[in-house]
Amino acid sequence: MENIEKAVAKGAELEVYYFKGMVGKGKVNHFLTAGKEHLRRDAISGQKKDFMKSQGFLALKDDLEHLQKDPRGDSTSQYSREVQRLFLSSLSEEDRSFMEASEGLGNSQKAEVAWLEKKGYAYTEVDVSSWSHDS
Amino acid sequence: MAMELRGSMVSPLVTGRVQVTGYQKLVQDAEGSEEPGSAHESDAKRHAEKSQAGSVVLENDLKAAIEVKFSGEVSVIYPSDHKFFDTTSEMVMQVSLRDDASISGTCLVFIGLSSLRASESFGSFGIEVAEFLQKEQLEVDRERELQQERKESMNHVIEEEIRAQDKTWCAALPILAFCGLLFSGLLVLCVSVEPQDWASALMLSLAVMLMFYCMFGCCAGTFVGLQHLASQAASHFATARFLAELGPLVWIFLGFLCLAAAAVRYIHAGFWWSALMPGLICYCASTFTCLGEDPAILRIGRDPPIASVFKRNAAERTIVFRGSVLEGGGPCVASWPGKYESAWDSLVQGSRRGYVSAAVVFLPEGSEHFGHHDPIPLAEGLEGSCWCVPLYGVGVPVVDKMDGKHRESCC
Repeated sequence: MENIEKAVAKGAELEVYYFKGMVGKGKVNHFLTAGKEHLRRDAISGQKKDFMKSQGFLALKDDLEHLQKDPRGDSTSQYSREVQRLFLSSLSEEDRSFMEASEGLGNSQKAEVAWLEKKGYAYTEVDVSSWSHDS
Repeated sequence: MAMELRGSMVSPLVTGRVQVTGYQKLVQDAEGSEEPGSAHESDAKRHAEKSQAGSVVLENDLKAAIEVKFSGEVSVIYPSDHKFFDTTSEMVMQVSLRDDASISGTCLVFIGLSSLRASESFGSFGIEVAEFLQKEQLEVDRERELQQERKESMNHVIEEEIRAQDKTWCAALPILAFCGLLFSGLLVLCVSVEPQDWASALMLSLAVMLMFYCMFGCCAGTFVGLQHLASQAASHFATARFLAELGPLVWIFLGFLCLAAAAVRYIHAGFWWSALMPGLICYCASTFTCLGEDPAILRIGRDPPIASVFKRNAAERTIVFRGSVLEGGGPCVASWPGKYESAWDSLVQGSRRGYVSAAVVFLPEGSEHFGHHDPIPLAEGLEGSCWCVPLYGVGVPVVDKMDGKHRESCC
């Protein structure tokens, strides 16, 4: 936060990088609800461990083994994405929608962006893939 | 048989929980399937029976999971798997790639059609999937290369740092060893002198304590350095490491013997109170060495080698990033998705070379300021002792996993 204040004081153009193809998505509703939303996400994500021990998931394990497990640039693989999809589909409609809507920014980023908005600091939304091409 | 069942098991998970009962039955059927040797024969027989009964089998010969929509049902077929579908009339079967629903294809299924292949039967679907996979594989290969480069670069930095430490220890060791021996000699000398009166007893007692502490410090330093150098030269020699760890304890034990001898001598000379100081040190030190929950003597050979501790510290220092905001009004990275590790790495390198302005930070676990809470300024008018409360709903630091380390989120 100190760095951000410094950047604002220097008149820098703040940039927020989003997941590939998800610019503008995954923000919390409001700064005041950021904590509550974080706890809810945390509680739902915590169910994944149990899901992966469930009979339903274990029955699919052999099939899932055929999927690529090596990660690409976003640290995900065919396998991890499929497991996440299956986990989301095992949730209630309400929880699934909530989790899907929170895709686009990392956990700490949601808080960072909420804080930027609370402070009224203007920022540019950028797709992380544009960084990969530039560098 | 088992493969067929698994193909259809996915459906309940994908389409919801309503089919749980049917799914459980499928699990039971799968568990009760026939002997492995007869599986292929049985599968072929079943295929023939199903074909006659008006079924079509779809084989996923692609290296990706596909989603199939047919007759109002949605199911998933994984690579090398297949699934039977009943064909009672002419119907369209739609397939799409699980990883990218925009890649899809259709096929008209009619009675009498016995088999379909994901790669061939749905127009350009197979080619599009192959292109997608090729692109994905290139990304995976590139990521692997970048990870390897990161690892090599990190190792290079660590080796440089270890070499610098080696030089420091090589210079300090002879001095420490000499001082250690000198203080040991002085300690023995002090112990051998008989106190004549209360003043000399007090002076000797203080001198014994002072010499012991000096000897202790030099001895510990000497052996930390020795152990470091020994583990660099021959990290696989467990015996050398064991001796290097046992050495200081033996040396310090001899120091304790001197203290005990001094205490006995003072008591014998009638100055029992002057024996209290060395006696107290002996008591505390022996408790630390031999007693307690995790006595030092039992930790020999069990603690991580000192070299690995140095390596870990060096590694942490190389990946700590506190951000660097450049002068001027150009773009400045204010928030970064931590899961893009290689891109993050290029950001850090760019920032360290002075051409990328970044306000983001990365503090691995164990680094300075990790886990420290940043208090909320009064002017913000918010509740909570630190930023973790309004942002994460808890009063503890929240971290994102990144590269096996942690990225400090708030404070």
